[in-house]
Amino acid sequence: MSPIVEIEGLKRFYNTPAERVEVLKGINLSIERGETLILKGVSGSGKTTLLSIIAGLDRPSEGKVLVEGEAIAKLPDNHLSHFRGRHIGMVFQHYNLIEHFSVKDNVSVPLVPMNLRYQKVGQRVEDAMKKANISHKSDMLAARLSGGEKQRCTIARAIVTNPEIVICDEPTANLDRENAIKFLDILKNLHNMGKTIIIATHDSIFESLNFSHTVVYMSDGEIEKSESIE
Amino acid sequence: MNPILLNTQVQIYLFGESILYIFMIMAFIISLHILLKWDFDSFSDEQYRLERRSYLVITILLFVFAVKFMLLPYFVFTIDSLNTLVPGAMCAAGVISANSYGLELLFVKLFVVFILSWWLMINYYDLQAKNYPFFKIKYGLYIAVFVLITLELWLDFAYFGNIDIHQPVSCCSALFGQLEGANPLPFGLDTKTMLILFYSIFVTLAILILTKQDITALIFSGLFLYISYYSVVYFFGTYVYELPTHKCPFCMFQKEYHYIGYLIWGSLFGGVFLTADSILCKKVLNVDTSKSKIYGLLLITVFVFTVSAVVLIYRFQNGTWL
Repeated sequence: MSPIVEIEGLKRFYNTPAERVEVLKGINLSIERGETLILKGVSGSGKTTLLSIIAGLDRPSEGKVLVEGEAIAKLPDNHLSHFRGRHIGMVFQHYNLIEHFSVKDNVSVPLVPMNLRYQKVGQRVEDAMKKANISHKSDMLAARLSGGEKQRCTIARAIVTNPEIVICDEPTANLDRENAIKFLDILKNLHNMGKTIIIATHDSIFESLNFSHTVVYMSDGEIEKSESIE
Repeated sequence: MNPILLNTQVQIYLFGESILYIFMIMAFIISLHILLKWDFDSFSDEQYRLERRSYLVITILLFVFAVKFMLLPYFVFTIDSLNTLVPGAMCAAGVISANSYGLELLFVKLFVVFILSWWLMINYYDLQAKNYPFFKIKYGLYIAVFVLITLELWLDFAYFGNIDIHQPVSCCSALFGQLEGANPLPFGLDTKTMLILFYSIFVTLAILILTKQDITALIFSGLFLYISYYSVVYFFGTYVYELPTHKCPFCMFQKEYHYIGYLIWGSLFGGVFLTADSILCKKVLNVDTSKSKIYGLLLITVFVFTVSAVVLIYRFQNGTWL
């Protein structure tokens, strides 16, 4: 089976009047279906930029990025949004929840463009909240949730469309240790469900992951090394 | 300086058209570059840059075209408002015939709107696909549009700059009244035959669109536009003005007639252009345009109902025909 994400010669640079800032300097990476990949590196190493390009939130300056066999960087905006909605779930560091919406409503937002029947939406939202262990707070406003609950709410929102790929950007950066460990448990569930998980982090707690995964070390826009951990 | 060029509405109009033209020059230069260098299969820095610039061009053109569509009725409004400055003019008919550029400008404007709406439709279908299949047609057409719009802008300045406010003009009463006694209708038609043709062509066009006989529908939409012009000026318009001798395509844009001209001519040209554009798109791009053809037919139906309603309302209010 072909890899779910294939990256060849990926470069991302920004031109300023004074200089050209190279954020990614020719990344080659292949991620298999169902694999969990941890991108590690210090701030500014290019982890978030790489995630954003895989998620179709940013476009490369050069190089090929195939996700599910689709050259996502070349898709027109309307197709890209559709692709993202169907295949990719995002967990952001700062949650990006709509504060004055309830948990249930926040989780249902990605389903809006899918034109599903009301009953089906309710069923999917309920299911996603259960998997993310947040269904007991379904009617509470997002603004009133604790950090850990907000994170679980974003996970429910990320998986409600049943995407093949879940992308997490510094997911534990704002969590205390107890909630971070709970987050790892949810990750394990997602892994067992066969999801491909890509995480950018510099949190050492991911060293305690107790299922097979790959760690890719990034430094100054390049991949330094990668290791598979069983 | 020509006092016409000091008129506020003319200044706004010419300023608006000039600003849009500057945007179009920018889009034209980038388009040429894109057309020459485009290679969709490449993942190079240059190709990604061209794709981003292509979005920029599309955004510029969508903005420019939206404003140009609004500027067409504003142009009619502007020339209509100049009737107080041009001796002998009572409406836009007099002002437009103040020099030889006027009618040429009007025809070029209508043709530009037709081509622009076709470009918009091609752009829509191009963005519906994943790999820009109509990219070359779209940008090639834009280059042709740019040449047309250059001509239009030149005509804009030539027309407004050459209106002589000391030279009396013939307005609708003289223009359309000078044929008094002679038959103004094409092919020696009388009014009754013209009306039978008008409604017959409408029904035939509707059937052709619904049964998807595209080429014949395209020919009939052109025929319908032609017969509709004469029908509105020489029959339906007289009911708008409630005066059998008042035969003018422009006075109905005025406040006294509740600006109904915008609805009548807007729905006619909108409907015919949309239908023709849809058929052209289907033939050239081989895409399904049945929905937009139906919208075109709906607009044409609105036009037919509006002009028919004007006559019927007059008949019921006054108990007689004109």
